[in-house]
Amino acid sequence: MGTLVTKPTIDALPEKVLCMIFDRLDRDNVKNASLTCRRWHDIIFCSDYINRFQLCISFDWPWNDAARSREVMQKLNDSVKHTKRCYRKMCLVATETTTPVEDMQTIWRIIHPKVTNNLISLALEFTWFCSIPAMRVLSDWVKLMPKLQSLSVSNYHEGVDNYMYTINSTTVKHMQIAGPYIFGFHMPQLESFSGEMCILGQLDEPAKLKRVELYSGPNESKDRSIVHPLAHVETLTMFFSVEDWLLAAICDTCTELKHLYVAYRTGPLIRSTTLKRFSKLVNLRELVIRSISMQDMLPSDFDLGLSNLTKLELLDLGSDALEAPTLTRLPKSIRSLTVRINARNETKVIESITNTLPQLQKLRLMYPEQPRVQVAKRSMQSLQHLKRLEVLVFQNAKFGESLHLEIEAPLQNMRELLFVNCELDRNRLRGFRPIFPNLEELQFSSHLQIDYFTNQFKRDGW
Amino acid sequence: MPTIKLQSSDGEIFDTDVQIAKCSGTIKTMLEDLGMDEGDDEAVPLPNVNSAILRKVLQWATYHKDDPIPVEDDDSKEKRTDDISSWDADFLKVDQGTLFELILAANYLDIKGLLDVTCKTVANMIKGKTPEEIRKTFNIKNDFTPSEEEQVRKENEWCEEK
Repeated sequence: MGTLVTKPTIDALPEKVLCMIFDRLDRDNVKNASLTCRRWHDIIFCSDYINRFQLCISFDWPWNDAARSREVMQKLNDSVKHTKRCYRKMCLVATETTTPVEDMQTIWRIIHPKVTNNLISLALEFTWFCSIPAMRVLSDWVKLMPKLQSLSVSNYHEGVDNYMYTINSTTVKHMQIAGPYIFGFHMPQLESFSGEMCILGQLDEPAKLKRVELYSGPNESKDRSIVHPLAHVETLTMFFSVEDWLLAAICDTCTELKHLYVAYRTGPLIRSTTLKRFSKLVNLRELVIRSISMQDMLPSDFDLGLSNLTKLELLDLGSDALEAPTLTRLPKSIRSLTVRINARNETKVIESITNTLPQLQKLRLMYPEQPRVQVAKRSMQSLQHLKRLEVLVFQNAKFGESLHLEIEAPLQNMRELLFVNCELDRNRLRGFRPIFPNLEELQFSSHLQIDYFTNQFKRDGW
Repeated sequence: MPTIKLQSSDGEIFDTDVQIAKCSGTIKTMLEDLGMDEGDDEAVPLPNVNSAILRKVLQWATYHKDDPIPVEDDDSKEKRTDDISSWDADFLKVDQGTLFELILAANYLDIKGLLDVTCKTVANMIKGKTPEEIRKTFNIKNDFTPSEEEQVRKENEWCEEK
């Protein structure tokens, strides 16, 4: 008896597999795929796969072209009116026009509530001269979007508008806003904020705010109350020069901080008494400051008093304030450490580290760029006590005899050895293999990012 | 080399290296869950895979048995389709029906590498084609009404990648 065996066609593939295939196609090829049949269209635009895309409304006609405006609005209306798609993301882009308020209102009539009811993410990318209608629209729209969680506004007005906008949303959790506009916002669910500090000051209910990125500090005033919205923040990243009074206010207020990063190339003058306030941040896991300059001469027995930060794992203070008295009292929880070294304290600093932190996994030793300091043989030898060390970075160091290591037992855990902007004779490294039997990477480079030991700045392309 | 028996949907038994069989997540889980051991006389039934396809799947798995374990897909990474090895490309020079059977088998058996390379092959057959050409390639029936198709076309103009 013969059985008719039918070979499967592409229709036999399950939705999950078709999505994997669509994943391999760029936007235009997926659009063509969506036009082949209803099933493919519905998978691409009516399932979770739509999260790959957003509804994007661009204004690209000259500001006074009313006919073109009407034509685009008609097209938008024709597209959206009968749509089956449930976009979760939308962006409005305006590059060429002032985006009259009337156009924005027309858009609203077209997209509300069919589109707006499903949106979880809204992005406005406007040139500065569109910003006034944009901000008005924002304050009207956002409160009517029942699922909106993420709001982003970029490139808007540089100046100050007299109109005070208040943005209300009981759903928004993430907000990103570029520009120094002053307005109020009421977002009791807000968990993360990225923008200017003076705007954050307008947030009235910061109870849930946990992650904050600030691109500029407060305006002229030195009012410490500006840090109040940060009271419960766990991760704070600041991309500007943080002045002494502000750093002090943060240390006094933000006691729930777990991660504190200041990523500014040249730090302002900080008083030693302010540095001592870090000891109040008892929940800190990571403290990274790119650069700090001390306002006063530190006494030789200066201790930052970090011993009670018992959860601290990563420390880079951006200054040579980390000297032996502080180092010998660092908490045992530290796994990753960056220290600045000078000619005066080199051996003492390194020996303090090797004696105090035998559990250290990552160590970065930054020597002064000028004048060069030669690494002492004794320093190199004391490093062998760090048996758990996985990553060792020398920056700006000069090696001579010290590269001849006489080490009793090999460092089994060492994976990466980096020489950044160092002076050394590479031939001398030939004998290194037996000392570091598990070395995966040996690098010579001219510079190293501050974020070498942390992922914090990676996603900002910092 | 320890072996186990795999039984295809049409009853054929395949004596297979355990190591090769275990590149299938489904078989690996079955062996662990059922406590089946090497040398067990009982065959592992694979009711969704016929003998012709199982033979091909095992041929692929044998060739790739020493491949490193594929890493989880990183979303940010651009998904390439031009990195199919020449052995795989030759292996996948089959009629469409067989290709889809291989995909279904790789999906059922949970063999990530095979599913990946077969999906890439299909993606390459779609790339650069108009909707009509895609339909023709895969013999897909256009079930849109003309006005529906026009609507999709219009809406696609407002669609951007996020």
